Amino acid sequence: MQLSEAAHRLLDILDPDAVLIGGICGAIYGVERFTRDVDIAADLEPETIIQRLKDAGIDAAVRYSNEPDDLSWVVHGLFEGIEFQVLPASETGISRGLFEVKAGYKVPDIHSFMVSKCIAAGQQDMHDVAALCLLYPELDSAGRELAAKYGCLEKLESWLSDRRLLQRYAGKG
Amino acid sequence: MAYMTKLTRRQKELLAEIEQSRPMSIYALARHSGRNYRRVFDHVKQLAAAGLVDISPQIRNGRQVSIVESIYQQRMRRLDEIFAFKVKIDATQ
Repeated sequence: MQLSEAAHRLLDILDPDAVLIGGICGAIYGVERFTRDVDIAADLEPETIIQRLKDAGIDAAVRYSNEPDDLSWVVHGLFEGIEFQVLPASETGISRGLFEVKAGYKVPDIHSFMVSKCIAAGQQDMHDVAALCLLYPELDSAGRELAAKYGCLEKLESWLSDRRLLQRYAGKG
Repeated sequence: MAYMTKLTRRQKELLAEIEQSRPMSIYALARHSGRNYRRVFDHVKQLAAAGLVDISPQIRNGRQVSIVESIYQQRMRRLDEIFAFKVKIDATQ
């Protein structure tokens, strides 16, 4: 199964309460980075997600956490050999009403997507935000403001001055 | 390409149609949308100039046609190609 098909099927199962996030969403917005899994943000309880997946013949499990920097739960599973994760939309900075449909995929609007990346603030996340800022210069100040708000401006600036990233994205939007 | 490209209502409708369909020729797109070919051709060119769709020449039934694809479809196809390539590499290791 192709990654895009898996994303489509999973979104259908959780529709209308879910949007694509992570690497696939980044790819839709123009970030070229390899990803091998499907990340989804859902405005549902984990038990409901697991039940809906089960009804569709997909096994999934939930992992809870009480750690202050962790998400309170993550539903994860394997769909036709492709790993997927469903995360709580409210904790990932995804606003329920702010989504767009691109190529048939429901994705958060680009600003919400950048918020989710700045909340996660890992190196790959900041790579993605920097790539978007370089691709769409009009998002640069919003990206920097968000990164400052979530305490990851230094990481973002480091990526924004990365020579390879500049070569790949600057002026390519 | 600006992220928020300003489009006319007609262009937005056509873009939505392109995004919801499989890649198709401008002729097929005009027929599908029930619009004048010349109008659709002009709008597709404007969408391509804004970086929102890609037009590529292809041979279909022995004739050269211009195939229209949204950039988002193109990006998903590229992602699938990279994924398939990596899966193949992993399988050989």
